[in-house]
Amino acid sequence: MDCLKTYTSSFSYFLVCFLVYVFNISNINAQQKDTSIHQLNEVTISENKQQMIESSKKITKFDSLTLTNYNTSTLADLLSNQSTIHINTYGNGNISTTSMRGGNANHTALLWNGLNIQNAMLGQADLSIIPVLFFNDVSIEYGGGSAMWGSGAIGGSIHLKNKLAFNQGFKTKLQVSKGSFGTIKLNSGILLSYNKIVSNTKLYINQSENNYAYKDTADKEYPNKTVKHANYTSKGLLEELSFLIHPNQKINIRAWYQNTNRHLPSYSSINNNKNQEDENLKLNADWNFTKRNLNSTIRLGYFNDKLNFSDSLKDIFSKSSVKTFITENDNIYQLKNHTLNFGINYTQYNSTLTEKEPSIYSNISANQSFQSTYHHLYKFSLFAAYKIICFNSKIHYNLSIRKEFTSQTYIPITGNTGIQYQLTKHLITKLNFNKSYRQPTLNDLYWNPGGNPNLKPEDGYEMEGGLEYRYTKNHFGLSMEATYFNRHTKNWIIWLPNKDNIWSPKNIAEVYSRGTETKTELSYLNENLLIKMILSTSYILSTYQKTNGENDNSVGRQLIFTPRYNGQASLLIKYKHFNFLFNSNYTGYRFTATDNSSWLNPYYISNFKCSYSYSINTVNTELFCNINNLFNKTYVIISNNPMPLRNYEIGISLTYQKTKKEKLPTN
Amino acid sequence: MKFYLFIFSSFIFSSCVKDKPQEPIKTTVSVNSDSKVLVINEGNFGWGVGSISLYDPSSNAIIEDYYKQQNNNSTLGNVCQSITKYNNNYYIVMNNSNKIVVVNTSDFVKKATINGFNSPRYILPITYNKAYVSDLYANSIQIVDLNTNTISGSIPSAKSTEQMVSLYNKAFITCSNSDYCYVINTTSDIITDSINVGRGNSSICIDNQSKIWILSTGNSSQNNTGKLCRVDPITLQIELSLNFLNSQSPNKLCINKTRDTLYYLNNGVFQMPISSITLPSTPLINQGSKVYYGLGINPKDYHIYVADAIDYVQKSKIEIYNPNGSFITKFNAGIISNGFMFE
Repeated sequence: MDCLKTYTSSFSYFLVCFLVYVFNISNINAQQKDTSIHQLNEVTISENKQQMIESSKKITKFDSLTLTNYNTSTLADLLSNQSTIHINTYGNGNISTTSMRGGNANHTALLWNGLNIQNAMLGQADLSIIPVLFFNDVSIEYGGGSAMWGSGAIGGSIHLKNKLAFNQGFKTKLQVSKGSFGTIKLNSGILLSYNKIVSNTKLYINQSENNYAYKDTADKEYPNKTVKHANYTSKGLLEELSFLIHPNQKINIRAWYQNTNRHLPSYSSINNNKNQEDENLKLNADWNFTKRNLNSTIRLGYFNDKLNFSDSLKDIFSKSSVKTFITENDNIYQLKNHTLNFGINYTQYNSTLTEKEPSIYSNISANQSFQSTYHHLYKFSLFAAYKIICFNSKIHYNLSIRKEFTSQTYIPITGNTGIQYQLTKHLITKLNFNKSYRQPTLNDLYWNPGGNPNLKPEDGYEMEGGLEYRYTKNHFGLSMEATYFNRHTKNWIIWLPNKDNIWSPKNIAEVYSRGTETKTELSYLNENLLIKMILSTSYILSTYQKTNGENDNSVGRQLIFTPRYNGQASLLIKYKHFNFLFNSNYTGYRFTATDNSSWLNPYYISNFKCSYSYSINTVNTELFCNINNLFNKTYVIISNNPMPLRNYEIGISLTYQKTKKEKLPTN
Repeated sequence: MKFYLFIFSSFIFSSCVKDKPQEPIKTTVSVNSDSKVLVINEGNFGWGVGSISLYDPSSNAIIEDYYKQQNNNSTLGNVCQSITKYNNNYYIVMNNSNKIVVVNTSDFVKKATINGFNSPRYILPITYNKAYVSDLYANSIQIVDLNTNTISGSIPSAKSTEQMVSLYNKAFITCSNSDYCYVINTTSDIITDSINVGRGNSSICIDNQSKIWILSTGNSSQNNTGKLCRVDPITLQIELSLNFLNSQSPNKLCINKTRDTLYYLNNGVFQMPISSITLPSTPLINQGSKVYYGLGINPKDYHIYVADAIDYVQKSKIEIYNPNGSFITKFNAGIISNGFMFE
């Protein structure tokens, strides 16, 4: 713990807390050589853009032990169990979207190494197809962040990062698990880490019959049912390469491919043949160089997201594809206690939608043609951010602005400004203001019929204030954080029939979201034992503010599928070779009608994970067991989409590691 | 330290406001009332919240989910499309649950379920033991045996068959994805003819002269205008064809008790005597910023019932008007009310 004190003077208080987090974990995982402390050192100072605003915002980061515990899960599982973000899930393995700080699924930006990977046609990301395995750094940034991350970051942002360390040697891992409902998961990875080159390869395949039993509360006659037609197969590959081409220059290349093929169940129909295939290819390369006080990064991104949906009973066949091209130059200039960040970004979306022409006569359906529509959207952004740390590091102040130009509509300037003040040794306060925006999706703009090319972007105006208390003594650590936020979102887009009875989107709604979030963490750490307890709560009111016609009864009412209460508690114990994780999540009432006349009952779900690992020479064997929905609760997240009862997963993972002698990169 | 703890705990506990929503106040409606109105509420697609509301015009009382109340809290299913009364039974067509629920007219208790449909829309009883069921996605009209409550056969047709009427041993089947309305010989169950009444034909009525009126919505993106046609059921000739403007999407054709006045929705409620040879130019009831989705004319008192779906995610508001267009009252039904059944 001594080394922590030396950091205190040179880094922000927030970073120290960050390090306590990481350090704890790396300590206990000594045999796994967790190097995140070094990475953090390296990355935070140079290329991490998030550092510009993090001092005044609420950001939570998952520690590496939690991520390891969720190695075989999806991002949707991780966030619904381990955070107070509400995840709307249409049944096990089915589409999952987020609601953060009273926003809808379009209001959470999902960023992969700083690049937004939301589907531009849908304006959202399906978290049920994103494997936790592929990332070694997952964090949640609460509140509006458009000034940093652009469109969509209104309720918050989820950051997925890949970080590679040089000089770590050779490591290979194989993990196999078997779970309830005919689920088999297999993943493996190979890490080659030398002085100047690192290669990290990961691949997985998950397969499930997903035929779980559930209780249909709507059917009193035959309540015991089994989900049919819900099986899925998901496979993916991630390849990361990092080159240290010069002591001050680094190149990263990443390729992420995955394919998810799902049958979509229909819980109330007897006949059903819906099928969805998601195929995603994401390429990302960046070149980073440092010269004196300037650190520059050039990023390139190419994403191809395909979504094929078919419903043969309804004769619906739709194939959509969005190709995204991103070029970004991002610079961080540091002079003493001043940091300046500026850059430009060019993004282009090319979308294709191919649909079967509506059939008029059944007997010629075999010859029906497919009709395709193409759309393009160009976006150019300029951004700048400034940060100063002053008064003996007691005050951190930041200001950032971003201006975007698109080929479609006018986008106003967005910005963020915030201040952090250290009240006492253990207590800091934060205050942050931001303006965020979301551009209409390609479907909002161009859907035929009804798309509205005259839509304006949605605007969010947010204020947040927080208190953070951090205390460590001997083996104990305590941190408490409370945040209040307040946001008005204007020009909120809603689809409704127009006067010609065609469904069309309009900027008609206005939503007022406000609430408090708390996070309390208590930890104990010694040589053999780590105990960590986390309690997070959120209380969010998010209400419609504008009436839509004289009979509208939604004003002042809570948004649908947005819980007011969410609480999450977890207990992590690591004792020698044993590792236990127990977590519970409470989600309050969610309304299913905008006039709040109907609702879904709260649910309280607990999960349990345990593992035992031992090493013989360079081979580590880990046996693990997960029990989900421990208390066998019947619940739904979305109306009529039942979730599974208690279910199990057991597995084994083997790791072979050959470590090089510890030698820090010269960067 | 204590001070900070106090601050934190006050933050944590300040959020303890009651979360449980208030249950609606239950009203009692006498089921044997002479003039009850059933409201068909589709409910949101996929959420399984289709319902039937029961309204008593004399007392202005409403039971929002009548089926649930009478059936031990069971729900109807996903997207309630239509209700038809026949032989002391109500046949409730559940579109996205692919079934028809048969309930007693007396107490609304479920008697049977007819399964095996693709996407059923309306049921048309032909004889005591035979009925036709139109379907949005099937390539056929299903024939149902009303004695056994099973599908006994099918008549190949285009997809998207909608409302139906029968007259002189002929069934007239509208088809919203086609320009044609189909004519079925109800004895042989064979499509014998088709009539070009315009794209998007989906609602149909019989007037007091035994003429068939068919309303077609049109399809503005394909430059097909909406049409109102009068068809002679014997000669199958179109006697009158009235065109709407290209951008308009008229729908929900209804007729009053004496079958001499037509009503339909077209960004407002329109009223047209069957003797008219032009379309009315101004609505009887202005829609304003409301979203009219369901329409019905009470045969008891000629009152016009029109449903405002509002945003499609809250209780519909049912407005009641006099035949002269003056407002009487309004009440809440279920989500996305699309039509009415008057007793």
